[in-house]
Amino acid sequence: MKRKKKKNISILILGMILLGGLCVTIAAQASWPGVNAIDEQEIMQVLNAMFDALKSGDTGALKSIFAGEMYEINKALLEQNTEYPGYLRNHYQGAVFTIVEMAPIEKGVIADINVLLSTNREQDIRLLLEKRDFVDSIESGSALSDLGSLRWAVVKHIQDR
Amino acid sequence: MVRILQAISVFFLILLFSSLGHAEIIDNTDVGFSTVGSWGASSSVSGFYGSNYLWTSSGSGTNQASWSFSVADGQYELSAQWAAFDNRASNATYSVRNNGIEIGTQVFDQRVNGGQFNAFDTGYTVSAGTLEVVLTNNADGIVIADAMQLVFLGSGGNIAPNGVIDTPSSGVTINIGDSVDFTGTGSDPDNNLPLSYLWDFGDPAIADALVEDPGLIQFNNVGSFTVTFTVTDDLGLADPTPATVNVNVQNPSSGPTIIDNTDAGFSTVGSWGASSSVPGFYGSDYRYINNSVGANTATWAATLPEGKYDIFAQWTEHANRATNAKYTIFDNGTDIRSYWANQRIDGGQFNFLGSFYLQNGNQEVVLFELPTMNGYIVADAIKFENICQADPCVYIQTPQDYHIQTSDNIQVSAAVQTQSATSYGVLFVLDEGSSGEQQSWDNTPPFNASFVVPLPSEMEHRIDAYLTADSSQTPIGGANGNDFVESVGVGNYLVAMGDSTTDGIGDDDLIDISLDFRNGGGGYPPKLNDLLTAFYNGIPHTVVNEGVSGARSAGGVSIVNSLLAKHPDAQRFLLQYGINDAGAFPPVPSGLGLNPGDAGYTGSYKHNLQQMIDAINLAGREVCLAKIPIVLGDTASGTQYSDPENPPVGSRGDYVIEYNLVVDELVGTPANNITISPDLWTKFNEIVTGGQHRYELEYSDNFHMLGSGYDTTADEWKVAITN
Repeated sequence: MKRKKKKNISILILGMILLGGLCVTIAAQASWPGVNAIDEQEIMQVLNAMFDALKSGDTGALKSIFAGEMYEINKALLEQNTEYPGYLRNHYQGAVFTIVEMAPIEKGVIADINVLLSTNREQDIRLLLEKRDFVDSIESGSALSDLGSLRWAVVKHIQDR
Repeated sequence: MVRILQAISVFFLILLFSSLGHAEIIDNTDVGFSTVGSWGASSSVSGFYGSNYLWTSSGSGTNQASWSFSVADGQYELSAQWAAFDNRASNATYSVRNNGIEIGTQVFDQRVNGGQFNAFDTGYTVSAGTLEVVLTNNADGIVIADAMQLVFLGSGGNIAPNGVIDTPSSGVTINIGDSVDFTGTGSDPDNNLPLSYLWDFGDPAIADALVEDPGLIQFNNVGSFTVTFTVTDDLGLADPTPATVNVNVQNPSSGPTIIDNTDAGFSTVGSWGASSSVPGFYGSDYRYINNSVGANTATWAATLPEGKYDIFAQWTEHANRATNAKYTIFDNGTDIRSYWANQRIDGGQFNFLGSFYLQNGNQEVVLFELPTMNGYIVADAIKFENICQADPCVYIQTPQDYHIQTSDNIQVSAAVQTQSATSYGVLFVLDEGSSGEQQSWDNTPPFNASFVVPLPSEMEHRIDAYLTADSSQTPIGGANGNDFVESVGVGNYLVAMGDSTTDGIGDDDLIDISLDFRNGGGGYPPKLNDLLTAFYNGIPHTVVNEGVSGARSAGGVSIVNSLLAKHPDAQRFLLQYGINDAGAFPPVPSGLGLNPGDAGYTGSYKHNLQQMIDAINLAGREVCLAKIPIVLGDTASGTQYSDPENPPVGSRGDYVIEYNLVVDELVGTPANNITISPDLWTKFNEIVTGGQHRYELEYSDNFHMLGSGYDTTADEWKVAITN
């Protein structure tokens, strides 16, 4: 009986070691199938920079994260509306952003994001990211400057038509 | 034994490339092509070879695609094809390996030059065995693996020259007796000059030309001719892949031009499947799609001489097809008119889309896959049939059928087509046989007439053109001695701008075309046309649907000026924006209470609407502005609010309520000159029969209406307009 118990403990420890090893392995790999680790790391960096910019109302940072349609449609708000930083700060103050999923498509990556606002309202957002050239707009000191001029950008908010 | 086998192998390889210029193509679906790592298959970007291409994200080079050719000793030229797009690698790198040893690399920018084989910068001298081209994802964008072409240039030290046809740059269609300007360029990698040139024009009646630029060549026989330009170097080695271009010579009075889905003039955007499972198709198969993303198209392109054409479409019918497949006819890029086909019936035949005057140049019929489609749409074949089957032939150029204008002066023009030197005249007749009949005769080309119709003009007009001698107004008859246009209206012209609630998402009416056939495709515009035409006792109307599903008010600002230019006759612009602003990320402030110059105003919903209002007023048209319909939840298919009339603070529904207060402010601003403003929010929130809210009966989801809801929307607009 005692011997059997000892054997069970050994199996349990071995299992925990194996499980731990597996977790370490998984953590070292990309979290979403089809998105390579380098891209995923860059996208996470871009999205986290976007979350920070929304919470702090940093419209300048958002300009270096948005491109294409996303930039064009928000251009006036980001560049000319002096109250918009405060509007964003007020809206996203205390918000919790969670990247729910990333999925590659041919022309980019779809990212699903859940936003829990301080009012306890939740918003699910689907964004399209593509690689774009920011060669003319890269700013020294930006959170993304280490990614170089050609980097992932948020190009579209995909809505229910 | 080994030597015997080697000798046999070499013999077969030599046999394989026994003629110079033998081109071998390995596509991404062929034997000889292989991949390592994760590659996706796609056909969503046009310009690929075969049925599709493979793509992979940029990476460290672990994803590889390779094309492997068996080769004999000699010189070879490699060319690669891909589907270009702006997210592609600018530095896609191909490694060329002969029997496992790298003998060169080639870097291509896959953002450009898709849809053709792009020659590597240099030829390669290789030893018998294997020639492998390896493409990796060690690049700065999406890498495309499609097709690789190998051309045997020769086995000696001499590399073959190359010829390029500069003009015409692509195939042309001309009338019999017309000329084409031919120019070319010859080059030789190893400069064995001078080069000699040979142009074979395909028509035995035309003598070959022996110069680089033969200039204008006249074609006097009907047919499809392949023109070949062959360059030969000073050592007598000819370009193994002579350049070719097709010249289609037609008699204007000859048979129809049919473009099938397998012909060169057919192209698609998006992932269209190919099938032959439902009978009734033209040729060998048909293409189909049912993505409902609204961004895909099938295009039949033709280069036709100026004239008037009956245009037909063929499809395969099935119960799963769309009843609102939208074919639009473009004349040199200008949208002439659309036809909405019910593809659940009338399969297996060419169905008449209409008669169209087309200028000389590029003609296209485009089948749109729209978000509002209610089933599969099928792209099969299109037929262009010149109405002139006899000589002489008269045809009306303008106006076209279903034309509508606000002016009471109808300008008409016609042309006479003939191969003879005889002079003719044209007798124009407006509303022949009616009490309002008018006639006008012109015996000098260009043939024109001008008719002034009394207002209000409560009818559609028909205009006939009769061929006459140039000395008499009496029609001379003949098989093509008369042409006419009908449903030419003097009436009211409205343009509907907005989002999916204008476009018609959710509309479940199977057939949704206005009674005058001017408007179709769903949403409220065709219904509003019918209501207004009926209300005004038959005065013709058009309500053009320019709704864009997913559009925000900022999107409306970006297109309003182009729509004003596109619809110069439009008197009223109906604006219905806000549902997508209310759910935008990041959020769009309403601008409520703010005015131009106030902090926080720029880029707000109010500012965007004001910009559209200003543009429309500045152009001398009338702005009509609707309050946004009530929304029932944050997303189209998500959880409904417990009380849509009092949605949660900060929700989409809450934003809509605030935006509608902005609409009140804008309508209340006298300078905006807005007198037409239906309140769709209140209308859909009203209690109707059975104690239910209207939205409970007439919405297809949390934002969009059913057909009955679009009926209500049209009715609200009609009440607002007619009041």
